[in-house]
Amino acid sequence: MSLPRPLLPDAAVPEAPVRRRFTGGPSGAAIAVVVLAVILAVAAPKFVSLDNFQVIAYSVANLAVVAFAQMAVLAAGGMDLSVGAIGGLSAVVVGGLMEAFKVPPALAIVAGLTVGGLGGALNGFLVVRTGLSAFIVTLATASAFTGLNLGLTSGQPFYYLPDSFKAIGSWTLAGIPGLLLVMLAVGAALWFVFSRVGLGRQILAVGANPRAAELGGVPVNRSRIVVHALAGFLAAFAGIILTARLGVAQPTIGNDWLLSSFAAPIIGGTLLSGGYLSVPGVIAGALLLTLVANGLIQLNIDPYWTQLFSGLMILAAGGIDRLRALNLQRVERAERFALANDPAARRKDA
Amino acid sequence: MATDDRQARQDGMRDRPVVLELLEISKVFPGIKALDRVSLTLREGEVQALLGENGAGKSTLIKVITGVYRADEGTYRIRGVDAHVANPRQAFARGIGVVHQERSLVPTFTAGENVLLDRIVGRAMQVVDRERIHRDARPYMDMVGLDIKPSHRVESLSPAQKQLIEIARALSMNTRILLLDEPTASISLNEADTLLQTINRLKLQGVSILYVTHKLEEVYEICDSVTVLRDGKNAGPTSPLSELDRDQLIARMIGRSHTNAPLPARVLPDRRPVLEASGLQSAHSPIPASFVLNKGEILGWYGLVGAGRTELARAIVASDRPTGGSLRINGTEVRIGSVTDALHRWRIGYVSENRQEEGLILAHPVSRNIAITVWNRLRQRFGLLDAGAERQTAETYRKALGIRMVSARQAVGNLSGGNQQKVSVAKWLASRPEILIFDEPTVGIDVGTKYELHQLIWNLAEEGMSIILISSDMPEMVRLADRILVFKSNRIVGDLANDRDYDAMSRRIMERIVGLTPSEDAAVAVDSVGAKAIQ
Amino acid sequence: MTAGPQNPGDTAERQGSLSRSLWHRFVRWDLASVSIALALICGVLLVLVPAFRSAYNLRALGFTIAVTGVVALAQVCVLSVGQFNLALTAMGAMIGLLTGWMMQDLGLAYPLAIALGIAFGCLTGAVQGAIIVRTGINPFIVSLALAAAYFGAMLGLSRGASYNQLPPAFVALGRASILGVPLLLVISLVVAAAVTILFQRSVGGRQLLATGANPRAALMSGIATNRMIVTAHILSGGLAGIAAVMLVARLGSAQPSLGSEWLLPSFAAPVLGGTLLTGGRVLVAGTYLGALLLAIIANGLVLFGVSAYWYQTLLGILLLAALAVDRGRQSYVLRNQL
Repeated sequence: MSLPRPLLPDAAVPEAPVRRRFTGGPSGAAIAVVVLAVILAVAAPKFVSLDNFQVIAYSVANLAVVAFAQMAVLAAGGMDLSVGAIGGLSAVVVGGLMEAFKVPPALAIVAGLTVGGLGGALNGFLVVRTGLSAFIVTLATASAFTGLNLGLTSGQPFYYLPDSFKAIGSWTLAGIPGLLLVMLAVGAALWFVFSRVGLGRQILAVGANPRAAELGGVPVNRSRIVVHALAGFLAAFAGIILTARLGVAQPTIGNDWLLSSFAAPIIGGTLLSGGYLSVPGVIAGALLLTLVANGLIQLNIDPYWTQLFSGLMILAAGGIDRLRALNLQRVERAERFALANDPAARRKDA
Repeated sequence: MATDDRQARQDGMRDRPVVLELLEISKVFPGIKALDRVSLTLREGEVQALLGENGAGKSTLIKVITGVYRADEGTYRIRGVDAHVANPRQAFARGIGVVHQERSLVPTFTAGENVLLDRIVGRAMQVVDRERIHRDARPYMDMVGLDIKPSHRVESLSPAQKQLIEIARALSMNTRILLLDEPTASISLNEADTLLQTINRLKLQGVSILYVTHKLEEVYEICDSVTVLRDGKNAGPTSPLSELDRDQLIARMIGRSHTNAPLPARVLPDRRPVLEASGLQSAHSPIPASFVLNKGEILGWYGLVGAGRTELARAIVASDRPTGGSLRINGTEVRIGSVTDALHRWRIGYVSENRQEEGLILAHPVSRNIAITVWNRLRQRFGLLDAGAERQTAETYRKALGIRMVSARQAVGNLSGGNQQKVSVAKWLASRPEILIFDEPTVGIDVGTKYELHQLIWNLAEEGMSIILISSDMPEMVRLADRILVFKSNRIVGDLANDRDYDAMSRRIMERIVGLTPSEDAAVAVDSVGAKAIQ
Repeated sequence: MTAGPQNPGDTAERQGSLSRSLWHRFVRWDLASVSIALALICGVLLVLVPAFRSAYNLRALGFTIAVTGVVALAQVCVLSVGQFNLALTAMGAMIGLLTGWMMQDLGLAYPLAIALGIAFGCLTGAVQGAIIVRTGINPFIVSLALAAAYFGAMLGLSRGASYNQLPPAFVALGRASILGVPLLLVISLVVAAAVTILFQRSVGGRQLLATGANPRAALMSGIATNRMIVTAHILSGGLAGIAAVMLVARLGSAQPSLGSEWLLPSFAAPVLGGTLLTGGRVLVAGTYLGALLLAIIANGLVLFGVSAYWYQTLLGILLLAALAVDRGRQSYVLRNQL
């Protein structure tokens, strides 16, 4: 197919009408991770050490699971401000059951995950049923869950957790922290669900184009509830592995998750408009955020600045997302005119 | 062309069974009767054109057929059986597929997945075998001549390819009746050829197709029969195309001049140019356009939908940033930076065709909507608003335009379409512009209000306002315009003085659009307009 | 869309009984839901808890509403153009600390410090608005990112310090009263009056609301919508500054945790009071009723001896319930075409 070149507005049309896209997201984050890692390896002598590697691994494992939760809801075109609250609540439920009621760890964990899943499902149900925005619903339930957490615990942590439970947080495999492997397994499972299972495809279809999804026979409301439940489940998962790692069930767990839960997916190319997600991108985003925090410590810079850098990174990621969208629009427009609106030139070509 | 062949085909068509039958379908919306006893008959393996001007009721009819709307009255039969189609899913189940102008694809999925979307997302707990989906989608993609890999992501495809995917999807759902809503509006000629071939192939397989379009060439190329709608009514029964020549078809589409009393003739005293554009272009209106608007003149812009009139108007008021060319107002060259600038500094108003989304703030009261353009002038000390003056302004224009409402505090969204349009116009009149651009001012409003607006536009011009009237409504154009620019594919292809003889004028205009080949036509038009601009 | 009550016959029909028309008027009232909730809770507290009426308690309530009201107005300004300000908490913390630092470490006179603090609030808002308008990045993301950036910058610069030695005259402002009414409440109500005038009477306010209700239509009507969006964020920053200074005066110290509780009430109070999250509709009086409701619930829990920890739960549930009830009210009005 050849194009009527002279009539193009500013020669912005590529040779073939097949366009590339999404080169920015996941791969961009990965490149940033590599660059930052190299800089740190050169600048900070203690950066490359087994200890530091493990510190980073634990942090990434936790952060990535939190970000998976947000990623899932974003992909369905929503958002969940209550991931932190659910994570904290599940953590104290598990801790409380084990300490106060001597419930075996396995059962306690199941209970904690159930609480998270139900909390998330409640979010989804409210969004679907009341027609209120996910923003205001999850803002309100976040408050409710946090209050429940604090009311049950009176703000006191559970310190006396069984060793078998704490072991979950500390096992390693050939020097690789087990939690990192767990996170990768969760990521792989999510990747499979979202790329290969009807349910995952339903959720993505709802996120990309609810009308098309509905016409295609997707139970739109049910998908929304399911994705919120999934997010709640993942948030609980993150809260529980963090508890195991810390060895203490802190009611404050999840307080500071909100920002990074959005930051990692956005940096990793998950679209805010819904319909697209990238599991490797989220992991890369989580790694980038962790490296920045770690790097500040390694370079003896006040860790107080961490948040400033996180904020700037989110802004940059938002900017890249925007540029991508603008570029797509421009190409599309140019194509439309080149192809559609000039029969005269086309006739000569054809 | 193989006319005999078509003749033969159409003769054979009469024996085919009727698959879709609509009898006296009516649909009323508040303030307007969108469909008034419309009938239509579609036979097996038939390609039927559904023609009509903007607002004639084509899209409402499509929505009734596909179950988006329910008809208030009338009979709807599929293969001779009364059909109760309450929603689009039920329409699919009865073998009715539709491809709308706006795409309903999941852009982040592959082509194959979109073709078999039903299968992918229908079962939640099933693992999707993508290889198989892609393999199974292949035959449907072949049917529509889509020569891409099924594993290709949809978002990187061209508009035409996306459209073919939707058709392939419809076919995968055993569609026997396919509704295509202006399928060639946003695709290239080559791609349109592919599409038309596809339609021919489908027809041979016995699929019946209802084809909504504005392009008469296509109608004669592929259609067997035609149903024409005008003002929500049948303009004649469903007829074989062999019985209608092009002129008769055009006559059906645009109809006779309405019986309404003609407006008094207008005498333009002087031809003083108020607005002169030369080579004006923008990202959305890429072909340089030149024209002149004279003082007190009603300059009509006629063309089919998508001919680039709105885009050019937007370039004038800087709603789309101009990328080239120049504008002169009252002889001095000006650079309009924004819509604010256009309104407050150069006194150019633009009454949008899209009054719900761009013209009005539906949730706000009538008075605010009318006064929005003059708030700056009602500013008192400390930036406070003279509320009394706002009410007065609203009252003045309510009276002048006869806006029917309970109180000026009523939200505009609660008014009927015609009254909403009046508010939208009132707001521009309140700003006292020297140049006012009306974009499809009477689409979707009742006939009574329509004539009131015609009178109003005429009066404004008599009082010295210079007006650009964008309209796809031929009678309206011939009735009101002093001079008519004809648009086709973003070009001005004709500049005709209006002698208000409806038959002659409409013929001359349609000749410009369908008759001449575009290239020579464009050259002529640009030359003549250019010459005028120089004078 | 429905045609609405256009012909006189409709209206005549509806003048059935007086009680019905009163009921219709009531359900049409935007503050119906929040007023009923307030009346119920106040009634219960008045009857059951004598301490509720004590001058001390009422003063405490007054202080709470004073600050929450201004915080909510800071959010309202941005809501008016249909956007969110998630950076409100970070702005509050930053401005509070900055003001404390200027008074304690720089020894600036407190009026000057207050003025500079509020001006700085406007500046942060301007930065936020400018980024949103200039880059076109999703406003939600911008304010989320800036919340982190502001907070990080504040912590980085202050190293987590607090300022406890503030000028006595300044601290006295936080305790002062005029005719028994806390000075801070008076200031808050003056601010509320100003914001009311802005949105109801001024040209600028009208333009803000038009921008929020339908940005395309506002732009096509000649309103400089980008300028309006920036203005909304500047106002929001300035009001966040006022709220921060008020809170510092009330607490007698400036801490990094200042404002960390603001986010939920900043949305809850306006929304309870009938302000639309989607923009174009703002009710200042309703916002104060919403703030009052939130404050009285917190107060009631304390009086009943319920652990303050449960407050958040109740707040969340109440917000959802109130919103759901109000949704029901609106659809009732729509369904019956009142």
